[in-house]
Amino acid sequence: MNRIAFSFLLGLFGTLSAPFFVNAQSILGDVGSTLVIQVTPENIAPGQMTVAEITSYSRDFGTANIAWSVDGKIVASGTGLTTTSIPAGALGSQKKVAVAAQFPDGSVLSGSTTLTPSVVSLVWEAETYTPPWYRGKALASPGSTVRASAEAWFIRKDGSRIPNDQIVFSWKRNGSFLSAQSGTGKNSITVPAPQLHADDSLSVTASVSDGSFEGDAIVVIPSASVRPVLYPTSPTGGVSYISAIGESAAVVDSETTVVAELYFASIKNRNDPAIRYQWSVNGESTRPEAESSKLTIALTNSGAVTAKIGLTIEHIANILQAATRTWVLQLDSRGIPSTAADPFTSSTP
Amino acid sequence: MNKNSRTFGWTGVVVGLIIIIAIALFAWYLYLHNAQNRLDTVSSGRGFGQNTEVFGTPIGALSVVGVERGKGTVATATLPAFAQASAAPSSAPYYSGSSTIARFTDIQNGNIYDVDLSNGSITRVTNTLIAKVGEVVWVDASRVLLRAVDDAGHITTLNAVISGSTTPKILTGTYLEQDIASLAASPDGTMLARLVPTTKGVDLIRSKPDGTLAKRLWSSGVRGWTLSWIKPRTIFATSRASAGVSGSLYGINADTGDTTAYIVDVPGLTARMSPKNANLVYSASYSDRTVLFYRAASSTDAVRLPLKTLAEKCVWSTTEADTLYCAVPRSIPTNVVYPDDWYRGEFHTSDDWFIIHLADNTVVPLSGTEFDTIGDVDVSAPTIDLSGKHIVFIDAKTNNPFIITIAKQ
Repeated sequence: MNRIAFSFLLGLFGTLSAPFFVNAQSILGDVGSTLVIQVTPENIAPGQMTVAEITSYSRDFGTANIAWSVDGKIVASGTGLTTTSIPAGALGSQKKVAVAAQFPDGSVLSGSTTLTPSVVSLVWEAETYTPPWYRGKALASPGSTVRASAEAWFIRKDGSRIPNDQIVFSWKRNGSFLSAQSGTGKNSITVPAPQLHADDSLSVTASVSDGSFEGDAIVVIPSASVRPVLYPTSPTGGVSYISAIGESAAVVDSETTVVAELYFASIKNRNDPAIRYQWSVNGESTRPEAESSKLTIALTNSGAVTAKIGLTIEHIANILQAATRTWVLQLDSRGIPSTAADPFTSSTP
Repeated sequence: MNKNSRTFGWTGVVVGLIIIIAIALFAWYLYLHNAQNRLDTVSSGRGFGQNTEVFGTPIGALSVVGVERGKGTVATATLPAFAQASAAPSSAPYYSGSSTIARFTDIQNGNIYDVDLSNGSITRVTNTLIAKVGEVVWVDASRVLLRAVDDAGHITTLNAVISGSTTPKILTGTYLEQDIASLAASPDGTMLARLVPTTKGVDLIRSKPDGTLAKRLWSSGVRGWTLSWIKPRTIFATSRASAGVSGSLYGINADTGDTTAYIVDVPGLTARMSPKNANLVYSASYSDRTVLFYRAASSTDAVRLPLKTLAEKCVWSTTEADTLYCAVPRSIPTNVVYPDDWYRGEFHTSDDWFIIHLADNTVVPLSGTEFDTIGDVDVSAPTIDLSGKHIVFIDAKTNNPFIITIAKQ
């Protein structure tokens, strides 16, 4: 059989066998029960480079003339060419991959499969406190809980997406199957946060009951500590979240008020009664203010004084949510050198 | 001298004293009156004194006049290539069509003011006091969403409209739901998208700006998303970022709620979609580095760009499809967790600007003497006007807005 005829056979096979294409996410056995196409990885992401490989239990492909085609076009051929790389298409696309192997005795084995990319996404956050306007993620401190949500994009041939309530979500935490929280349509989950200084893995496998689609996703959830951060505040301007007070020698006015925000604590707000604050100034404990997260310090004389601010916080129900930090403030009766000018008094911006 | 003469004498002295005291008091009154007028004028110009609590009935006496600085044009000179737009802590602006006017909100007091990007002149628009504004979302030139925290710790969102026939005008409005997690307005200003907390997570609600025609488009078991709406029919939801933690970007059809996975499983993801096409720039932040990627609309492959910065420090050109401007930190110390520490205000960057021509893969620094003399800036919320000639960003150290006038590179 010459090359043209071989290619014709390959194309013909690709056409005739189209109704029998199955998803490449499972290993596919095909014609003559002797040729198997295996695609790696099993779950294909859009645009991902895949590797297709043929194997046979009864024939040696080393001397066979092998041709690979994608959507009817030969993309690779050669003697003993048992593997080839094929990029997956976009989400919702399908690529028909066909292969034919012609042996020296003239016999031909062929097979085909379809590359159907899918996407499974897994997003999580901890049920911990972050201040208003914080753009970062709420991280998981010990004793808190974590919410996670999965989305699966399984696109049918007609372009429609299989809805989440028709997809089976199987959850695993640190490799252990979470049977009670897995099932059809169960794409959200709540799990305990990792233990102190530990990372947890959380994975989900999404599948359709008829086996036509399957995909998975895994995330690592690191353990975070509760982090007190000090901000200046004023009655008119509120808390200045853009300028956290550094740990060393921040210059402030002769009287200044600061608040502590407790990132990643299991609280509703910074004055949550579940938190016990202990403030100190230069080693001496201070009397708590009406708002326990707030501290006001003032110079009694003119000049400049260094104040070492200490803060220890404890969660009354969770001993692992505790922290101690110190800051050094330079109180100066001459005030802070002002950089803020009146926007309406400069002639040029 | 008889008794009557003495009486008249004393009476004359008393009357004289009374007249002198009256004259002195009158003179003192005139002095104080004039001084008060001067103070009123100066204070009004600064945005103090005449403000109104917007949530009650707006005070009608917002007829502040004589505000030379606040009301009128203060400069006509050509703006330097890199200039501070205002010393008022402000939010990202709204651009009025093809004009050179950028409309800002002073987040200290809720006052709205215009800056002419061509010459830097500042004009006060409103004088209504709204204290402690934490976040601002522009809907159109006359409607703005002002977000704050109330005494109980709840996030409030005032759906405010600029109204009135005199200048400065006033802000009036009504509240949206409490504790909205994120908000975005459609590019034409006719629709709002907001994430409303539920017991299971959040619902994405789309409605008209007045709240009518509300429709639930999407739900998530996770509340930490940031919305953006830069294409007419697609609302983007990006999971909140943390270094090394997997993030995703979804596109949600603004009519049907159908979702599309744009990016999944990228550590510390931040992203910026091009308003002109489906080009995308995104960054990945690991514990020790930040990497910037570009993905063309026609491709599923990402190209690594030679700049170590967050995508949220970048802005797409509004006139050239393959042009991107990015602010790049000069350095990030190894002990800094980026972007987490930056988001918390515990770390600030000093940035340089670059222009990226994606068509020919060139990166060119934006330079000029003003860039050297204006000092360090930590770029956040960069935007670009519709002419493509002016970048406006907020310095994250001060919340002051800056303007870059773009010369053809």
